[in-house]
Amino acid sequence: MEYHLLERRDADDKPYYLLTVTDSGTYGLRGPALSQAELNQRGYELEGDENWAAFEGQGFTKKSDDSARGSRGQGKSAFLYHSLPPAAPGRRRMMMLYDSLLADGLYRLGVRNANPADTIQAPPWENGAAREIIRGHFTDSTGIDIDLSLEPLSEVGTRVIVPYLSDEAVTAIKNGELAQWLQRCWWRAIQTGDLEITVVDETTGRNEPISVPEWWENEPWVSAPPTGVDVRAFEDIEVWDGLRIKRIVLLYDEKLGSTDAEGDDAQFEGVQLLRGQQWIVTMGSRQQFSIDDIPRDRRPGFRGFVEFDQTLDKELRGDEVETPQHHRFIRRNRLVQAIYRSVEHAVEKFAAEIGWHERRPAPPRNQGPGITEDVLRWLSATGNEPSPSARWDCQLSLSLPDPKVARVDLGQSLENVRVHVQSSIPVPINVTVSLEARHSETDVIVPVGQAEPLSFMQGAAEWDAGAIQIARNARRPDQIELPANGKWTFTARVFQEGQMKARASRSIYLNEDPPEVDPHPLTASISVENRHRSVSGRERINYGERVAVQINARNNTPDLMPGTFRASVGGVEPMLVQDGRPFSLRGTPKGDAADRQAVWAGEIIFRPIDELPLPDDASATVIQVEPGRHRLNADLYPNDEDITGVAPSYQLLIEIDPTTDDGLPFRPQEVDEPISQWQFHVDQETGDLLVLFPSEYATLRKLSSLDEETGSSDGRDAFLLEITCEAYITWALEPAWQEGDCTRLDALHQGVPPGVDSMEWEGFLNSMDQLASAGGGELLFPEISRQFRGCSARLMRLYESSHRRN
Amino acid sequence: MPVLLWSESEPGKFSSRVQTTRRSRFGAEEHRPIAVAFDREIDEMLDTAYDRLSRVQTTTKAENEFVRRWMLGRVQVDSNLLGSANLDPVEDKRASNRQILWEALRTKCRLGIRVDGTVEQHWKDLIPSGELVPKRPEHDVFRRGLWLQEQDLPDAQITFGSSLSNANELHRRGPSSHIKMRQALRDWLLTYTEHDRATLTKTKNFETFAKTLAKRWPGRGLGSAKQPVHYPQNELNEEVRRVLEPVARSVLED
Repeated sequence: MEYHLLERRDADDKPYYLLTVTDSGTYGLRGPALSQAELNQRGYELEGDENWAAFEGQGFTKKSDDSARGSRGQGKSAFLYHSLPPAAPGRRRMMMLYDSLLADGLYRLGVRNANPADTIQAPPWENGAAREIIRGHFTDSTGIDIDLSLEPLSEVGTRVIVPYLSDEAVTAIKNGELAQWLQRCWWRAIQTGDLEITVVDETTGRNEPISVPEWWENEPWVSAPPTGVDVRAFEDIEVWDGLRIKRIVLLYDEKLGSTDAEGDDAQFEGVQLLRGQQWIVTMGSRQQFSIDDIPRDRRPGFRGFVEFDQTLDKELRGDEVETPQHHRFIRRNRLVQAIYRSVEHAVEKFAAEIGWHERRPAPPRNQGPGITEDVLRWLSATGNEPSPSARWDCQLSLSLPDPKVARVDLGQSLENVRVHVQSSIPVPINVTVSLEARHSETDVIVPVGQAEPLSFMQGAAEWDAGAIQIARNARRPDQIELPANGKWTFTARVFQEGQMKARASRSIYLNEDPPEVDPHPLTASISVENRHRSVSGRERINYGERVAVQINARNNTPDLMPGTFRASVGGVEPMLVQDGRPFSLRGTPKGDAADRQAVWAGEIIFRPIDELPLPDDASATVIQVEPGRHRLNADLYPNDEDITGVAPSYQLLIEIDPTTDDGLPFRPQEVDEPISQWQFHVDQETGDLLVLFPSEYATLRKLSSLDEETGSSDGRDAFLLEITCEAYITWALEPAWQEGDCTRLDALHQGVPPGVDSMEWEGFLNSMDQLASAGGGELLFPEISRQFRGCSARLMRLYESSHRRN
Repeated sequence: MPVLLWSESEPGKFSSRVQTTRRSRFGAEEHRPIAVAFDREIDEMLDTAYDRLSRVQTTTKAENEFVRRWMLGRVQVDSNLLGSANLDPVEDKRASNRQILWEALRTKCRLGIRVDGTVEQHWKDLIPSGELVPKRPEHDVFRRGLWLQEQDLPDAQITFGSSLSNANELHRRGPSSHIKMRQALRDWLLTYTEHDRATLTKTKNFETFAKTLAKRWPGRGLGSAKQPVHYPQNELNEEVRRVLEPVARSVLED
């Protein structure tokens, strides 16, 4: 790649400058030149090799381009910004020209004008006409006359010509600032031989090839570093499931001086994150790392860089991870946070190895909300598998002696016990299914049966366990012995290759009537799955992505419940997705846990509001919305007017990232006010949910003072863990209590947090389900309080044990 | 949307910075030429607004306030400010990106500052002194004016009884503030005599209607999935009549 600064003179003999940027050894800008109307018609979606149209377009996507990420017009904007052609007084014009030679000999020249109107030359000049303009002058209807006097391209490639280059850019070329910037951006690609860059100032004849910075010359992490230089390479580090950092290289050379300007963002001083061999951002020595890891006097000599393996590199190209201008990663993104943590860990290790920790004081008291974030991140991993996974569904059906009450007496049978399994895996698979019963008070487990491996037919399989009799002394295979009266929960679990994929439960009461609880007769939830999301930024939904939506309901009464529902999506002008559609929900025997039944399932694709309506897509509802937070609202009205309707709701983030760190549901904030142990508070400015806790709370104060004595943060962390678990349970259950909206509760059922035994997690979920029902019933406060404390204690135990295992 | 946000560091000493919702590699100042050109268009709009508002003649102070607010909205439309060639035809016209425009307009009125640095004192009269800094963004006078002018002036006057308080009452009630609802309210009020309309649009009575409508079409929770915008106009008119008629009867009987 060559940058050339050329001087030209206008009709009045006043000098002006051209900058040409020539990229050779590429394919050139291939493909047809498309008009704006044609681009619109295609929904700005181009084929992978339609580079000419991509270069001329703004905000496009390519169907098969996952390796070379563009900046959606930002590069062009930078060129345009530095062009200052003559314009009417008070007006500002911008323009650029670009020519390209293809392997088949086609030669094209295009022009882009910006401000006041963004226009392109359509169609572009080709072959002889293009070469003639390139060799001579370019003129247009506004009277502009540019003396190009350039040689047409002789090698396959592309050249951008920026006429009337701004003084700022001319200065940057002449004083070497551009060369420095290019070195910071591309040194690694230059080092590996994938790129050559030269800056040529033809006004002075200075020719400056961009080189690798001296401290990275000869790859010191491979060869022996020079004397007095400390280098460490940390290689093949897994930051997320299957996603790896290729290497983190850290270097300290006391002879190095400062390279970055005071007050500016870090460039070389710190650890550069390189994506696709391009510098994206630097974790600055001053800004990013503590003085314990990099002491002040060592900062000027500290350098580092990070490279990613191909899979992670590709993952980092998404809009939810990196800004389109390639100048930073989005810190809220979980993957980016994981990378930063890995780098911080490596720097800490480096600092310890070369002796920077020797003067390190005792660890400071943990001031931050670290443990809360950790708990919430651990919980949010539930159901958020790092890669798109198959969908599984399992149902356990059985006939009770009295279909309306889940009471079974000794000697009676559960008839027609069946386990129905569905999977979206398109290839033939085998699964095993187990069925067991667990006593709610004693936790005694009784195995009921295990199916022979089941083969799937068209994504479904069924195990018919027949009838099961509850006997005092079970002798026959169709008999089981349950050693205590009371509530027993039968759970079917589906395993594939040893891993549990789905489960379903039913409850019965042995020799007892189920208790008189009065839960919400009807509860509902909404589940949303973005089919395009992988590991990063799951919450965000981009335009064009296909989103599977399911509205679910539970009928907690023993009778069939017919009704109607409506659903809409949107903000200012919401769109009605369904209106007055009927549903019918199976009844649940009294005492049994209601199963989740799908009221409606469909797919939605979001599009920008300013886009022309697309042809109808029979398989999905297309909704045009502005970027922002939108709600998917549903109203479910049972026909029986004595039963209150429910209104589940789900927040959709269209083309935006969550505002709270990591998209977590809330964050803690310590306050000086004398409030209760903790309380929710909505930040009026940001809309974020906060959990306030008072610094003067007696337990916290005592624990903190003990921490100070021991130099740890264990006491404070224990307090934060407790209030986080309580706040989380409240946050998950409040909509269920208030509006019968179980969306948050159901999300917990979609998976198991890392490091937690699935059986233990099930126990916690059962207690949450019980508490959800209790909230709407007539249980007295002491009982609800006992259940709440039980849930909280279970959650704390699960968190602590999972972290001990890890 | 790049705009100039003006400030007065000491009496008579003005400066501006560029505020934008656009992405910038080199900072917002990169967009100053466009922001300056756009600021010039704002000057023209404010001059037109002042000219028109100063000619408003009404019988009551309340009606005067109402008409001025409506006109402040209509001038924005007539001047085609949001269709300016200085704005990106897609990105800058998004409602969510307009916040900074309201702020720029307010600041220019408060300081009376033109793009060339000269001062126009009477622009202050365009916005009520008590509303210089709205507590919530949706209370902004320019934004509310734009909403109010979605109906033609005679229709808006019938709908709200020429009362700005009534208009504000409905504006803050989410789904009920939609233009379809306002048209339905107008049609319903027209079924009454002028005398009864005057009673029904008294602030206290209108507040009751607004609350009744908000209860029927809540912004969240049960009943929020189908909103006024989703109804055909004739069905909405019928539903509004059904919901408000009993309330109106009791008001008129009192």
